[in-house]
Amino acid sequence: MAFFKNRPPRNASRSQPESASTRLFREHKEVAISSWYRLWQTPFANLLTWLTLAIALALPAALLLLLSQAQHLGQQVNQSSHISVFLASSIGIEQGQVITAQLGSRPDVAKATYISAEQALVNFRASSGLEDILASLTDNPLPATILIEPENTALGPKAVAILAQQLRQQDQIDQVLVDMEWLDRLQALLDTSERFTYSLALLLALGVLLVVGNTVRLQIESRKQEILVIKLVGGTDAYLRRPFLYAGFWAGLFAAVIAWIILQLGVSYLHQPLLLLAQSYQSDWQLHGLSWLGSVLLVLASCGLSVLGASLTVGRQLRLIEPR
Amino acid sequence: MISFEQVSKKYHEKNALVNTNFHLQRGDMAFLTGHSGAGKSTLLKLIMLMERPTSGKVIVDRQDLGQLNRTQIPAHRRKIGLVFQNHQLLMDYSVFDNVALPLKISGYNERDSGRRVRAALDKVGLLDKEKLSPQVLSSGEQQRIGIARAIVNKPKLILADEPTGNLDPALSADIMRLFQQFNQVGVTVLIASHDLELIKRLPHAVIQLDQGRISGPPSVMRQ
Repeated sequence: MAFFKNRPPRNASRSQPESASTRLFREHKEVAISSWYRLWQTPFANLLTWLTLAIALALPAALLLLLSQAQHLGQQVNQSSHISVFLASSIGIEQGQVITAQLGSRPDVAKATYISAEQALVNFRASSGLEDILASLTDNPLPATILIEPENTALGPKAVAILAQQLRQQDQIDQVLVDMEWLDRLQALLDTSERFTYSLALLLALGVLLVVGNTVRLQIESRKQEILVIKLVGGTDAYLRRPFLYAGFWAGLFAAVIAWIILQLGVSYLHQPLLLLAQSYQSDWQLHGLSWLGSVLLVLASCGLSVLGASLTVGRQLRLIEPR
Repeated sequence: MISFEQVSKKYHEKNALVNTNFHLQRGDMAFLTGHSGAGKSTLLKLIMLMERPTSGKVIVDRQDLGQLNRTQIPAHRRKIGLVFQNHQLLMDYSVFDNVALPLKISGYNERDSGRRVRAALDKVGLLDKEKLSPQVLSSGEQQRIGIARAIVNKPKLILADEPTGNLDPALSADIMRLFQQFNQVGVTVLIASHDLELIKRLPHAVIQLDQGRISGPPSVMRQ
């Protein structure tokens, strides 16, 4: 029967040999699923961990969200800031208009508006309610003014300050007023908040690492016997590590989802009063929730930190458990 | 299959093994005896790479264990079926899952692993208990599950540390018969035991340890 020699035996076809990558994928899938089921064996304890992680994530995320949108607002305010240029009293209307045209043609000036001394008096009379007193004056005490809107610039208050400085050096100009202090203060406040937020985010990220690390440490402790036996029958470190890394991943995912819900609730709670506040400053600024990109970043950061926390702990803890 | 060449092991200046030499041929079955503390466990631990010798050379399956680093230990252990005195079964696993553990860590898929687990359970006569928890089994049955786990991977070498330590004589004899069956199909078997009554009745070589030293060449007690 040499004819059949090369034919495989009939029962040899019962299982195809797996390639290494197929096997690895199958093993990971199995561990991902089994660690998912393990989550629901202690749902309450896990929920507490996830809430802790979620709060640690939601706090810096909320601050970052607020900060990024406040910086946007800060830029808007910068853009709408005016410079008031008071001309020397010797400058007549015609000369004033020429200067205005010159200033208006500067690249860093968006718009220059000339307000004559008479017009200024009319405006002031209308808005101040001091008509009687003004009527008793023989001379107009107000100077002619040029209102300057700086060009929209991402350079912020510095560019405005430079423009004001240059204006001051001109002879025809008596005085230049910019509400710089207020802008400086706003910028300083934003810078401070930014650093505060980053420091807080860093600390809380560390907190996430520690919480996950500690949870994994406890899990390893409670499965010590299992780990010992697996080591004795020849389980590799990678095999032992995998379920804990997946547990970290699931914790990160759930924490991100809870943090996302906390954030959206917080935004909708703050939305109305912030809208009123912005309106009182004639701004249409609104607080928006997390964007798609923001949400994805939140999930990535959460899962990444959790897996990192788990892997930092699991390597060290597993080495402590050796069969003796 | 196993060679010890001038192997010594010290724990905190206390000698557990002193210049031990012995050789176990492929396909042999032998007993390792001696009082408790004579070094039986230490000898098995050196073969399992749970310990490293202070001096000397341990060779298992033509591999000098001194040349294996930490990451190579799991692959070495997978070649050996280990049976414990206290069986070391996981009580929150089913009987099936306990036996399947060595296959799972070797990456067997469910079908192949199921077939092998049932074959191993069949061999120890406990095929009908696969879905139970080991907790509800008798100690003799638990020990046989431990043996099924040791053989499921079809190892060339089986090590047993006091496998009959907690069992009555009849059950002990059953367990020994199992080991003999594996030996008959070519598996090398080394059993640490101080059950001299049982050993005397079996026709296998005996390596006797006394205070960390091997007293005389392996011999069959019955002779």
